[in-house]
Amino acid sequence: MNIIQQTLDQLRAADCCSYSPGGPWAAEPTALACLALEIHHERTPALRLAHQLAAAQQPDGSIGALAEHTTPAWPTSLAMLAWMACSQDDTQSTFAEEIALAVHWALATHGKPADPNPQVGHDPSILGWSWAADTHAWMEPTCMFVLALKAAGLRSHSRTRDGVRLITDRLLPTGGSNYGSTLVLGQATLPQVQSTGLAMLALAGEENNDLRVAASLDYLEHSICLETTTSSMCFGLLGLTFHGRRPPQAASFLQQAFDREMTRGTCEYKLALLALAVNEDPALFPGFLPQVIA
Amino acid sequence: MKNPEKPSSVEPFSQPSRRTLLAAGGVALAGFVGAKALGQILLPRADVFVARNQRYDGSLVQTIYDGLAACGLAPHQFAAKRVLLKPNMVEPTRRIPHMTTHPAVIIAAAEVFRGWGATVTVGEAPGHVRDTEMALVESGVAEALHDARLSFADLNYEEVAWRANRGRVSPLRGIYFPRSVCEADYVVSLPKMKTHHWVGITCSMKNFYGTLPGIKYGWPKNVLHHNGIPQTVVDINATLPKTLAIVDAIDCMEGDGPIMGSMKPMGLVLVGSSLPAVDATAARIMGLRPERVSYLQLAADRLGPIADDRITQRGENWQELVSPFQILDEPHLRNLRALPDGPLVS
Repeated sequence: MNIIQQTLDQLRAADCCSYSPGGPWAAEPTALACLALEIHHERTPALRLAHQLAAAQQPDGSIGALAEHTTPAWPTSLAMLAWMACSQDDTQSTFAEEIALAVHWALATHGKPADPNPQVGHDPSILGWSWAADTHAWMEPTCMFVLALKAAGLRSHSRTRDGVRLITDRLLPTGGSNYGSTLVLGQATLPQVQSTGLAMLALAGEENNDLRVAASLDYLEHSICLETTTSSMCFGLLGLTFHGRRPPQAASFLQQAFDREMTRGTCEYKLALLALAVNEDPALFPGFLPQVIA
Repeated sequence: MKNPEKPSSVEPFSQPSRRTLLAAGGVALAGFVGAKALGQILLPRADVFVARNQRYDGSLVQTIYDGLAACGLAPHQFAAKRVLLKPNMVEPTRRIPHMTTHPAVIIAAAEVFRGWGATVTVGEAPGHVRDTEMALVESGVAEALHDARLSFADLNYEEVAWRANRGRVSPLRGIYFPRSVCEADYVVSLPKMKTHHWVGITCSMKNFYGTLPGIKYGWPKNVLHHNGIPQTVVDINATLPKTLAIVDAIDCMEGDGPIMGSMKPMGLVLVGSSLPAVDATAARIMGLRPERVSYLQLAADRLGPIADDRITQRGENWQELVSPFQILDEPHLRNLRALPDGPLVS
């Protein structure tokens, strides 16, 4: 596919990965770009970005979202994925220390639980991960840490299992998910493609008979179209792909998104997502990596 | 109750006569009343402009121009200034257009400030969605900005800078703002007039939650919730650069706002440079009591007036425009109603 080569060409040269053209260095785009390069066998530039993440790691194992900001540190999860992807065939265990520190931090960190509250539909007592310290756990950071811990071989760890439970709990009654709210004062909230795609990615491989999972996949299938915006489309396609429901039009959807990005000027974050979503083989994605640490 | 003991020695000359006492009391009372009156005079007043019969395909540029002029704002104040327009795009979907600021209001406001020589940027940090592009497309704002050649600042992902919290109502010592906010001379709130299921009303002050970056505060900006919604609304407003409000109150939201409520057509535009005064006026029009809205209570006399007798109405009088909004039948919302039989909805 043409867009693979073009996205990789741009990512190979990237030194400051950002959310916008010319924007500040950020850990999430760096980790996603590293992942994308690695799964497309671009090892040298992938390692360069992996080392950037290592340089940004704090002594406690965490990585701040922006350069020179130690908090919030939710991208630690994505750095774990990037390092583990780079460690698959690495006999020298280049990032073993970074991964171990990050796993330790991830397991010690959690969103602030609360007692169930009749005003909201979800269960705030389930332990997950928050965006910022001392706040509640939300859908997307929990998905990211669940993916990272699974990739680290901690699929059965209680924190991973709690995370999976939280993700399922936050699915909307009729399928789909959003930032992590299901019912507020009795009213169902609205689903969003990006969050639902990430949730489905995190739940891939789980034995989960909850009807909301199937309904969420249906929601993604019905929602993604040529006009779907880039990051939503990419996360949505990743979610479907890892449940064996990649739409036959996926390639044309991605081409359309790529063309839009090229027309208006894009960034490493979206290029990395495109390069990841182009991948049709779930076995290549680090959520399905073999266990790389004990 | 124990009687107070009488003093052992009486000093008559030191005892004021009844007449003296009355006279002194009169002076003290006059002083007190005078001080209070003086205080009232010194307390800030504000102008709020309200226009009726407004339409998205109408002459919004003229309305906004008139509103700003009526509130004492002059074109030269904006010449060569950087103006950041902040619409409400919290969680847009084409299915609920009355949730978000209509693109026509954004474009009209931009035209006014551009015409006055300002550099105009539109910026937003959607609170519930990480895909800002989706928020722009679903709200119709992307297309409108493209057509008007207006730049957009994604406030969720920009570089950030810390500013000391000038409000000091919440425990937050400081607040992170995105670069576009820090560099703006004026930040103009362009909210949608809506009910809010937690705080009663969301208008120009609450809309400024969307000036804070998700990259620091998350999606939603839960740090703010944990430090108190009313308190952080006031702190953010106190810490921003100069602010103005231009309210899209044409097609509003009632009931389960700010996301899932029903459309309530009002055909109004509100303008003002005192955001508490603008929001208090909006609340009155919606049939709510601003002095019972927690963040307006806190903002009153800190950031601007909310009392009706300290707000000078320009354009239309709000009293003639009142049309009570349905609010959720919840204990924390019922007492916000101006009338005990104001409309409730489950």
